[in-house]
Amino acid sequence: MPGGNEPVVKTRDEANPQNAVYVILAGTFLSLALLSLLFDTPAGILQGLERIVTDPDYLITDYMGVGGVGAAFVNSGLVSLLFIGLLRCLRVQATGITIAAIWTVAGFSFFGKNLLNVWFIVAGVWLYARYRKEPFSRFVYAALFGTALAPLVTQILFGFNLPLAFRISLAVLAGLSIGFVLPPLGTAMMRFHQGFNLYNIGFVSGLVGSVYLSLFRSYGFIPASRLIWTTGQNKVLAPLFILFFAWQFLIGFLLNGRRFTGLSAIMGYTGRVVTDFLLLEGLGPTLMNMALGGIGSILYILAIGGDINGPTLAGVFTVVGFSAFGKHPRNMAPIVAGVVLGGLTKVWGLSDPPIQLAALFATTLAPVAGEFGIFWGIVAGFLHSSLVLNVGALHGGFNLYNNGFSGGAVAAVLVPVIEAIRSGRESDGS
Amino acid sequence: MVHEHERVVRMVSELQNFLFSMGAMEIHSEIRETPECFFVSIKGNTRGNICRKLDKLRKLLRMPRQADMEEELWLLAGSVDYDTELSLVGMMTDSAEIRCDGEAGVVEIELLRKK
Repeated sequence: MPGGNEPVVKTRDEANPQNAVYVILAGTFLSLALLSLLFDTPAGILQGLERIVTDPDYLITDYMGVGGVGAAFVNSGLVSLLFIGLLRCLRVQATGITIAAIWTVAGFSFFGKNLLNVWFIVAGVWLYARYRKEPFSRFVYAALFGTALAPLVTQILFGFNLPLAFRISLAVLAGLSIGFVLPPLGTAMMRFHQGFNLYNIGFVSGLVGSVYLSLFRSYGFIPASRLIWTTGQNKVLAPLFILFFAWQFLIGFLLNGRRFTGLSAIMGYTGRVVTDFLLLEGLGPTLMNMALGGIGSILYILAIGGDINGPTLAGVFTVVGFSAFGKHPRNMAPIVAGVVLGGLTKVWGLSDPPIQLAALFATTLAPVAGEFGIFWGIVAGFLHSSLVLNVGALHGGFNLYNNGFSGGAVAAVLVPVIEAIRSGRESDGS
Repeated sequence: MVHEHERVVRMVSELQNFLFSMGAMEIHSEIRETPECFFVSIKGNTRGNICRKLDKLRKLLRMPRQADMEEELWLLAGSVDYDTELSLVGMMTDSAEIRCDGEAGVVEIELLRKK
């Protein structure tokens, strides 16, 4: 009898041991924090952290350029560890989205999120949970991803020429109000792109950031363009992170019983939300897929003559994190190919800083390639590489997930068109 | 939890899409609400080789209940007919049972969702 008649027993999957996931995450980011000592002295790191916390950090602000490589590593490691601690305290079950959220926070703690500015928005989400009389853990991912708008808090605290008490009050109010509106908006906006944009909160943050910037502009604030972009670190950072991810691959391989089973299954998923590789295929294959994403991203940056620095590491880390929740080399490759095609035909070059980031973060659209095939994946990447250069002006660079904002718009425009063309072909019998 | 009824409706919609994808021409669904939980039952005839699809259904409904993921993603359930969100349905339910009459090709799925 096909399928049998047994009940579906829901258990915590043996292939997804909760402690192991958290231990691996904590170990990874503790190592990252400790690696800082390769680059700076403890005193230099502390001074760098102070600069990171107090400098404006809207797009594009490379913390390696602001506080030094060592301080940027410590900032990333500590912010991630604090959020891992928060998830553990809330007894959140580790899933693919947990890994994606922590790696994304870690990555953006190289450019835009720091030990001070993230908590205002987290508190806003907590306030929303209190208002709804529901557990904070239910909205915790909106809190983690919502820190995309943290530079707005920094700008108010340290970038406005106002009395200190007023700046603090305004920063608290802005952070809390952003956090308060993110969870309901996150749910509602998912319909807009139907799960084809993996950085959903990036899209929401783009809209919220645009509203706030419009308010600021109404009071005379004019955002200046900003580009702090370090270069010359490739010879050290590229081998370091390739080793880092190779080690991760090895751990995954060993956890998977020294087999590649499950990795090929991952490549078969479309990647559309919800595709949780950790729950579907287990920890071992997921770690291997994440490592492949990390190594591939570093090699891409080197191949185009780009720079391994804070912002590109944010892109690499986001690819790694979302390789537990939808991305794999097969669905990412067409998207990147679309950006490369843009580089060959448009007015900019592939090694221009925003385009380096666009190629990495454009993989938010990987589900388009996974669902509709290589051609539409290339089209999505091609469109995204242009759109992402224009949407930043709407939020003035305060939304760190600018590519998530653009990706949401591309998916929303492209997917209905693809569906229409595809259903037209089906009704033709072709 | 807000929109509780709409969430259940979307779960049913997702399962209806699934049965349509297995060739169902006749689908019956039932929802019962008690103060503690919802029972969902959906039954449809199917055509062709359904073994692989049922195995997939079983795997996806086995997902543990995930209130945190549900909160952000529940609107995706039942949203498109060319891809499934069955793992999301799994994350929105506390237990599931799948029955299959192999000869008649009738598949029946029962879900329990605690409030």
